[in-house]
Amino acid sequence: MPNVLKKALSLLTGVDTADVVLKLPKGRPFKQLTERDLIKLESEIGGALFGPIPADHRREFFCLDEKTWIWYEEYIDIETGKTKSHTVRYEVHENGILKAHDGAQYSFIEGEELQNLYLAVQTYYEQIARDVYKRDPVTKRKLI
Amino acid sequence: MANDTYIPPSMSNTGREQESTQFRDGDEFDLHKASNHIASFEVVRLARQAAEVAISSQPPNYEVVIPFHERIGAYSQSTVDLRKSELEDNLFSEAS
Repeated sequence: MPNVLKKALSLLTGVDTADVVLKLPKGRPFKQLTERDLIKLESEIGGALFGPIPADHRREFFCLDEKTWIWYEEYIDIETGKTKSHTVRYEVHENGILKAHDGAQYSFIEGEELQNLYLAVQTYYEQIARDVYKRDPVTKRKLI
Repeated sequence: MANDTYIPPSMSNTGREQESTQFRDGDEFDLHKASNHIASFEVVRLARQAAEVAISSQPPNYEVVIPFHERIGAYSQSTVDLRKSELEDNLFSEAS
């Protein structure tokens, strides 16, 4: 299994921190926080970018690394009562964005889907820069 | 061929006015009057020269379009940079 996928799965299904809602400690906010913690914080913002999340849903959207974005959606199927989940991985390539749906179907996205992803990524960056890292998204300088 | 009979301008009642000379059909040709309305070669040359200067002084009429996937790549890199920067700050603050 590729490292990227392992990392994503670990982030998404890790039992140790999955149910723990991370909150920014006051004072020195990131002391003790690891890269994984930071991604979880980002993902809370990312998941909310696409509108309200239904009560029985869990949605995550985050930047895994320089080349990978993850969309994860988990919900309870009303008919079967079982938990279902979908993972979409977006890979940044030189010639486009490759979408891997549940690790099986691959396709380069285009048109409205590509534009919407771009808007989501742009909003994600601007919000995490301000709300998580307390930095200006453009200058990257610390906000006072 | 029902309408192939030529009717000279002087016999027609259309009274069309020529834009450049302001002559009307049927008017007698007056070289002096006509020449007042014809641009000289010098006028044409100056007009062309002015147009070339005007065109060359304008900024190029194009915009650089960055594809969406490249913009996404740039934001991805910026996001990771922020993350790394924060982790480095933590290391320094812990060390001190």
